[in-house]
Amino acid sequence: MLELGTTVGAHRARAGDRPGLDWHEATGQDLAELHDWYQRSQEPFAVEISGPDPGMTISTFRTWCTSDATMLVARTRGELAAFLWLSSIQASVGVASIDWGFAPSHPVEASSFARTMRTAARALGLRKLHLMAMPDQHARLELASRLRFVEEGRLREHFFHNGKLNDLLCLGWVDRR
Amino acid sequence: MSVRSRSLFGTFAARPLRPADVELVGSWLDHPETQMAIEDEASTPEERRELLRDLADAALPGDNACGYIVERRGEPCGFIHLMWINWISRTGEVDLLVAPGRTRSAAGFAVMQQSATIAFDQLNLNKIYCYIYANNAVSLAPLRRVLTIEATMRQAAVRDGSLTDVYLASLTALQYRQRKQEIAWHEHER
Repeated sequence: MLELGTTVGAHRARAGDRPGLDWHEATGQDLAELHDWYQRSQEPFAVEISGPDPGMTISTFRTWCTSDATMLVARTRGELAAFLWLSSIQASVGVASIDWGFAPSHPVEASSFARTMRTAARALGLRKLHLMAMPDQHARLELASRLRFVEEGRLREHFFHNGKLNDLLCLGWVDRR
Repeated sequence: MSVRSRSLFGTFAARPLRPADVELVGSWLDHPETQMAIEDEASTPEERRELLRDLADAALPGDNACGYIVERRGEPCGFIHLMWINWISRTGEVDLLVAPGRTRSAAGFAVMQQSATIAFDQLNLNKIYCYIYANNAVSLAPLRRVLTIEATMRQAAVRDGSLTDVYLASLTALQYRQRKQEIAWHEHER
């Protein structure tokens, strides 16, 4: 298991930061709660190029979250506040897909989240991340822009959601280190 | 079910992959020419054959991947791997493989034709897409005639020790039907 939680959570101690979240790799209990989140979410949950399937059982969901993937979660006051999912990890070329979600009650702190993402990517040896977003997901796109994702294309009629096929914007982030 | 098509280059047919095809397609995948063009994640010859055996057992709909052999005059000349089929969004990724040595022949276009016919006329998908490395000029030229490049993923792969871009190219069902009418894409024989 990756010891990402301690590393990522340590960012809280930086002078001048607003308090960030303490992240850790998802446990079985976390995944069970994430599955509940996934089932209730009105927003598409963890979009990637081939999915998701909206009807996954808990066991399929667990496999989907962790197969060639790392799911990080953060809690506040005992409840899930956010997740950061790195999937389709191609370790030999340092490429993966990324997705994230924040509980409505937890405001996003972009600079703290940017460090979390970078730290997680580097811990896994990733230098390029791909993100998918529907064109009307304004908050998601704004955060992506602040994290320095760049639009790399638009996939037409690629994702069925809310009764219609939606385009997906394809965004890329490269670690400039 | 098999699909047959006739073109200026002769008659091609596609049929589901069978267990007896595994060794032949495995040898195509092992070929250095093929290895240059396929994904970077290392796989052993035995892992590739295991995947092919799984594809030969696939049952659609339900499974989200399948394999087809393309034949010309009864001789296998290409392989179609349809994967990550999303039965709700009705999308699927395709990997197209032409038998080594035939890459520049009409077989390349025929394999692409057959993959579209299977995806749209048999499986009722709405879109197929594939990834192509920017340095794979042999595949890029013919695919560009039919597919639309929707995204250019910067520095998303490593080739010969250098970072290279990857194109995501696609064909929708609507485009397929329009192109069939425009160029008399092919005729069906039963």
